[in-house]
Amino acid sequence: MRTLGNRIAELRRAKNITQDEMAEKLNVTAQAVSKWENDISCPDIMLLPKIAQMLSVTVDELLSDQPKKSVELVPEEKRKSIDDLVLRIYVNSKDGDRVKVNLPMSLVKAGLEMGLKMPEVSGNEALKDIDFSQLIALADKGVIGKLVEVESADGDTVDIVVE
Amino acid sequence: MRIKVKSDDGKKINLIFPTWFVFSDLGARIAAKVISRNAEPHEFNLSGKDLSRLMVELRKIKKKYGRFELVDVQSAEGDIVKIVL
Repeated sequence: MRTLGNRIAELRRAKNITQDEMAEKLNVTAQAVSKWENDISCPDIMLLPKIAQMLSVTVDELLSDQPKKSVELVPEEKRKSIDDLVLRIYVNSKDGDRVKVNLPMSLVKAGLEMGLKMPEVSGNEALKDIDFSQLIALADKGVIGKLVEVESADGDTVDIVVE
Repeated sequence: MRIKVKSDDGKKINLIFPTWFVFSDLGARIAAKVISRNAEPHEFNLSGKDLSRLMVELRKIKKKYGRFELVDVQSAEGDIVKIVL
């Protein structure tokens, strides 16, 4: 069984974050992070949202011992209405800047119908060539999860998650 | 609607706008005027009617989700900007 410590360690390494960097951002010591990852202690409950955000997962995914499904096709009978879904955009720059934008799908649809382009919303060039109408079409057909993962040559990453 | 700004040196600014005003047709008209004065048309081209429609959607979202965090920006230096409905 994968423990919380295993998941924190895996996700942290996947994002190329060192224990020291993680500790500094969370205002804890690097030893504390090491203890979490070795299952000697657990992070304070108040830190979980920050840890989840830093690792680009939800608190549920961080705490669940089920492997994270990056993309999932939801059966028709279990599907939510498209207007109940939320589009989450995570932008992590190599310099350490983090941007998280949460947009209910109803708002995204309205914006697209008006001809709004995502760079106007996020100011990020990496989103310029992403076809958001296709993302809406996928979500409408029951495809949810991390639908886009872009890593630029500069090391910036953009993830787009529908949930 | 709340806009929270926290700088890395600890300074905090909390701006609280009444939802009824921000998402009203009057709010949309004021926003459209400010945008048309300050933004280049090719950069941001939204009419008052478009903004009114966005305001209607935002009002629905506020009703549905209550406190909803739209934007959360954290710079490497520790500055934080949050926009919460």
